[in-house]
Amino acid sequence: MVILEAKKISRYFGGLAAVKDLDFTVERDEIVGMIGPNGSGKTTVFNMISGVIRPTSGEILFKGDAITRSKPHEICRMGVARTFQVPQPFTGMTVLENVLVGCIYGKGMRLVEARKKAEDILEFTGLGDKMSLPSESITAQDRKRLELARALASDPEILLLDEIMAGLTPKEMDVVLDLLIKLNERGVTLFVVEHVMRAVMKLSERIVVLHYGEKIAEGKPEEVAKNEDVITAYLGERYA
Amino acid sequence: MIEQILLDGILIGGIYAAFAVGFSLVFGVINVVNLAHGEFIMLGSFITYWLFQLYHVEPFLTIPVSFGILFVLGYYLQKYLINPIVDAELMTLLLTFGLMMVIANIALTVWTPDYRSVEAAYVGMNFPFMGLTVSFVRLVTFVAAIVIIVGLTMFLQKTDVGRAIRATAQNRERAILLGINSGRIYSLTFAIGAALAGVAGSLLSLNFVIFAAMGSEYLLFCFCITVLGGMGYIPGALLGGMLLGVINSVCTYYLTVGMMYVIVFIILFIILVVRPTGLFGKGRME
Amino acid sequence: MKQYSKILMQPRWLAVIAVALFLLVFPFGVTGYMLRFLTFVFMWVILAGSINMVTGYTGYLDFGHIVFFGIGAYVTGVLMVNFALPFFVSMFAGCLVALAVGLGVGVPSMRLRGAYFAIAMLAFAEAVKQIVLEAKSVTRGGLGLSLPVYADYYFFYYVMCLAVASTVVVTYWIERSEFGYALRAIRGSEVAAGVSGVNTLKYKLAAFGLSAFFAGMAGGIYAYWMTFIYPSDVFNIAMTVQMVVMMFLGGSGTLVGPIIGAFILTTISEILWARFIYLYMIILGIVVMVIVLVMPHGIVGLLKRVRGLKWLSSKPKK
Repeated sequence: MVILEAKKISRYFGGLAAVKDLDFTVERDEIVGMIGPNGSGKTTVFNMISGVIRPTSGEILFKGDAITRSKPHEICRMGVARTFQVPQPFTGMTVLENVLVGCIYGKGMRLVEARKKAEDILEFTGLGDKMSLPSESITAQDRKRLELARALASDPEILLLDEIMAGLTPKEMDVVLDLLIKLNERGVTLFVVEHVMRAVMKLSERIVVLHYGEKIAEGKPEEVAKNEDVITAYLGERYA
Repeated sequence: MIEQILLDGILIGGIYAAFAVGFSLVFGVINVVNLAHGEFIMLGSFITYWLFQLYHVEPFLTIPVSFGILFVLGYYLQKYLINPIVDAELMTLLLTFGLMMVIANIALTVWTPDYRSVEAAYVGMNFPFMGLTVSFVRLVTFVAAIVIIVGLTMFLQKTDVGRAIRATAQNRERAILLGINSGRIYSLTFAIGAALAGVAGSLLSLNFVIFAAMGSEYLLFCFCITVLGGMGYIPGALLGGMLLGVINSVCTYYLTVGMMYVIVFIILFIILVVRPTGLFGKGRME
Repeated sequence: MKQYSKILMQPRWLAVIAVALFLLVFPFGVTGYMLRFLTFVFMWVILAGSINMVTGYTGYLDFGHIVFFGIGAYVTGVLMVNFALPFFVSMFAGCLVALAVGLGVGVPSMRLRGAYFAIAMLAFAEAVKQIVLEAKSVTRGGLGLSLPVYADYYFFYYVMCLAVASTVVVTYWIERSEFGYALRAIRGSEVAAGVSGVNTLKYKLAAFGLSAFFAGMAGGIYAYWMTFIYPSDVFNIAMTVQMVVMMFLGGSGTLVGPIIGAFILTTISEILWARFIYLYMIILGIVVMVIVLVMPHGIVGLLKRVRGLKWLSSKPKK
């Protein structure tokens, strides 16, 4: 069952096409990876799905309903959550309060039960002992965990992860991979943008490859790794 | 009659553009809205005034002095006050705001709010041109302003430093990776912006009455011009300046000065809301 | 940690009650001058508190906030003079008009970020001032508007006191409620707030509307108190400057910050304003710069840092 679908979406900035005529689908409970060289439009795609910017043309459907022109908070409440490539904690608020916001406004809980849920999520993501710290003061890795925790606060059906592995050691990466697989088993669909090949190849069931805003390949990780166009895009003509 | 008003407007527009260009540059490169920019203009005006008044220096010769003093002032302001907090948008806004208040009120204390003018010999000189009257000073100012703007554009395009500035404006992290010292670039850029404001102020003193509290008025004009032309887009400042010059000219002739401000405010508000990237759409949004 | 705060809460409430009683009884032992001075301080507490509701809690710097004060003043004045309506009705109408205008101008302008919003509001305030100046038939323009005289200073003291109380109560509610979480999330990262489910436009407007309402209230009371108002008096940019500085000095986004800032600066300005206005403005400018560079969280932030250190060194349980 298709949970997320993009139909020929494009996004132009001035005359420059960041994303061009992109089609893809994501099935429920799938783990789909999206890779591509820097500047290939991956974050722009996430911005369009989550409502932060609007596609210049095309349609985006979530569970069959068009969300192309919906506002970010509406899309969140429908069940789409995302993390940011560069973590954007709510500065001036504690780690717990960061997650509380999502529970209250994304999920619609009242303060008392929201607090319980937020604490559970923080335990799950390994931030249990850092709940009352100001979110500006935690380490870079913990900020990534907070991004994840905050995204989980609204109890999403699909989670868009934007380079969540960046800057992590292999050991930390395995911890996060573990978390993500557990989440997927609980019924959360994952759509993952990654640069770290090891992680995305291991995690994804299917991969979409972007280059200059267009889809150049799609398929199982092994197929994509051998695809000539993909190799050319990353390494240049010589290595194909 | 209307042609005369338009001509005056365009000539004034040149100088409007000149003092807005520095403001736009600072925003485009450093992402800082310098609320003290108007005060730099005022300082330039008064440098020219006092040099002329006390030492009888030919006003046009004071331009390099304005440039120099404001350049140094701007460089160290950026280096020690703004650079430390340059990423915090709200804070830099407040900082330049505080700076504006300090400079303006020190000037008011020292020089009083009295109006003054630079009464050089050639100030009243006019000559006829195609049935209209052209003020000599205004024409020279216009030419000087164009020279400044073209000069700045060439500096940014052709010199190594200029290119470094543009690179930093586009993507600071990448510029640092290329070996560019972003802190120094910022100080330099702010210095240039301040220096240009000073020069514009000097030119201004020959055309208009000057007074210690004039900074906020010109700041408002700067805002209007850069928003019209596109924040951070240098060529846009020229068009914005001329547009505002014409509006100024038309309004002061047909309406009151007070109404002109209302119209400027309303235009500013409308543009900000309807088309914040300016008439050309090339301005930066953040 | 929870126990600790429960203990603290008790003396806090006692202190509040003590202050309230003191303020109620205060007028009966003092000179007319002190009474008027404190009323004046209260007015600034309301103004600083009102701008705190928008700038302090959402991070949107409103450089034209005085416009709501002026609207409150003029609506109150016009209704009392032209329509002979009683004071409280007129004042409340002033609050509502200010609220409506706030929402009206907020919808287009709150899409703008940072400096753009600040300047747009400044431009708006100046435009409204000019309009009030031009609308001579209604507002008497530059000649000024004379309200019915009511020279009971006790009355104005208590009315202003009530207005302060309501501002404080509303701010306290913002701090403690879910509404407050939304605002602070917007202030922390507006984009992230949006994708976390916060309807950012709705909450920004709500905060803005509240801030306009209370600024309008201050304006309405001021108009009746002063009996005579004119455009450059109640649409004075310098007043916006003052309330912004008061808020940041005390600590923006806090409950007591604006109160502290208002008390300190009103006292200083009382001494300096008449004879040394430039000096006062220079001081304000320096204060702003010092706050930005050294203590961005104001006095409250400074106190928290000092107290925080003390707590760390005397941790009881191990």
